[in-house]
Amino acid sequence: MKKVIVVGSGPAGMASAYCAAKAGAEVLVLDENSRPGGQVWKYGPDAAVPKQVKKWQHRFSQAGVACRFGCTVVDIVDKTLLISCENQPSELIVFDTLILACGARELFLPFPGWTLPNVMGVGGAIALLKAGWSFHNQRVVVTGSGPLLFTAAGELAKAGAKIVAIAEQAPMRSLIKFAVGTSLYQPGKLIEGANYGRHWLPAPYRMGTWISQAKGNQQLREVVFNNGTVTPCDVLACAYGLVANTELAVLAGCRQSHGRTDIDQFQRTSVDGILCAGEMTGIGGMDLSVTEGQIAGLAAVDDLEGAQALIRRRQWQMKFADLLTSCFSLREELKQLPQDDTIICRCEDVTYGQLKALYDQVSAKMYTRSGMGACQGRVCSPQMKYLFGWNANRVRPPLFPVRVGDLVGKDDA
Amino acid sequence: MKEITVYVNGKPVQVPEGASAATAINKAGETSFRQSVKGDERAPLCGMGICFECRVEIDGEPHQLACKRTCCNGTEIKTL
Repeated sequence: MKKVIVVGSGPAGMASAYCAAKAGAEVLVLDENSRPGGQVWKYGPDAAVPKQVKKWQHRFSQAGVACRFGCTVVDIVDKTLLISCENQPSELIVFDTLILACGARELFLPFPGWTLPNVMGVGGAIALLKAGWSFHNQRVVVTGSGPLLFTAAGELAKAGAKIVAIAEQAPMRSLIKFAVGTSLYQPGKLIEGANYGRHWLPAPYRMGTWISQAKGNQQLREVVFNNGTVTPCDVLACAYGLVANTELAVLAGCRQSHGRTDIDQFQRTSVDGILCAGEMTGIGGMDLSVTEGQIAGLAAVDDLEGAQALIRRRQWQMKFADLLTSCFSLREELKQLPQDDTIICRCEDVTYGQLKALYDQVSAKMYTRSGMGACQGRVCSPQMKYLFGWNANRVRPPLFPVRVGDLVGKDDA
Repeated sequence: MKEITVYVNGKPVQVPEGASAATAINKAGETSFRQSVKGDERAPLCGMGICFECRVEIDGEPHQLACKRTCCNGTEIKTL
């Protein structure tokens, strides 16, 4: 039996694992979280789970897929993965076919005060909320860019937060274009957005507005917008869209372009036996991720006919992805926000002033240690790309910090 | 839902079973999770195991990601 390993159990990972298993493959899913669902399909025990998600949860649980949670892939050499697990020794796992569905993280852009406690991501706030973080009676400002601002404000308001303002950096004309496009490609999303709006109204939704500063002494006290408005708040949720988690694909040697993993029509990467689905191939949301996952799962077991049947749907869903990219492009003014003493690399406390005198990410690493801390540049590297136009450094193993004991004796890989 | 007791800097806190360590720290009223290399207070940014700002000590093991680790009854968490 063909052994298929799926890395990641978000929408793309679940869909691909299900499709490959249904076709008779032996499927093992690896995920660093303690439950399936990734970030977008993560639900607490009491949460109301939408119908579509329930369908996939059911399919996934009935497909006979083996799962290993709390496991992080830290290296790949040919057809072998090194995984580091919670409370267990590390392991080598051999695959015939690998499907990468590692999802995306948020893009954070630096501004004075962005390192204060209670300044967090937009998806970050949702993730913390889903894990039980209390926003009750907290005054929250939601800002940055993208439709996730709507969702986050709605979810936080439902959880008892007082949304004091929402600020979207994109101008009104982009948002009108987005609304019109969405009504055409994914009308359900528009209704979903309106429903969220019910919860956070009467908070103002300001377009063409962005945060320029967060103030407070070790604790957030207030935020300042680009138009000079000062808003007192307890929590600031701020992020500027998503960045694909391509590190494992890069390490595996899969060709990349524009920060995405290149794929053919059947989700196959440039490396034989490695497929890729979901946000890693370009940010497009969960519906596209599911379709890509299905195609990858079928292609992994060589059911190209079945995969072919889904390609038109994927093309249609990609129009929504293109709409997202074109409507929420980032404005140049955001590059002017960091001051000389604003921290860019949070792991090593490297400032904008230190970095601006340098010329690429390699020099940044050599002279300042920027990108060499615990997160290994996952937060600051996309910032340096945006602020200075510097491309990301080469990816090296281990992909995440691991215990020395997890590497000892594993050199036969 | 079943509640369990965990300890945040020695202080007992009740959290639902399966809650993350970050949730317990939040519930204990602690706002700082770790000190940066220059000594600034830091707390979770990404909430999903990417930024490493939520590093704390859990049951004596340092550098654990509070947003990803789930608590058991009696788990001891120390912010840094």
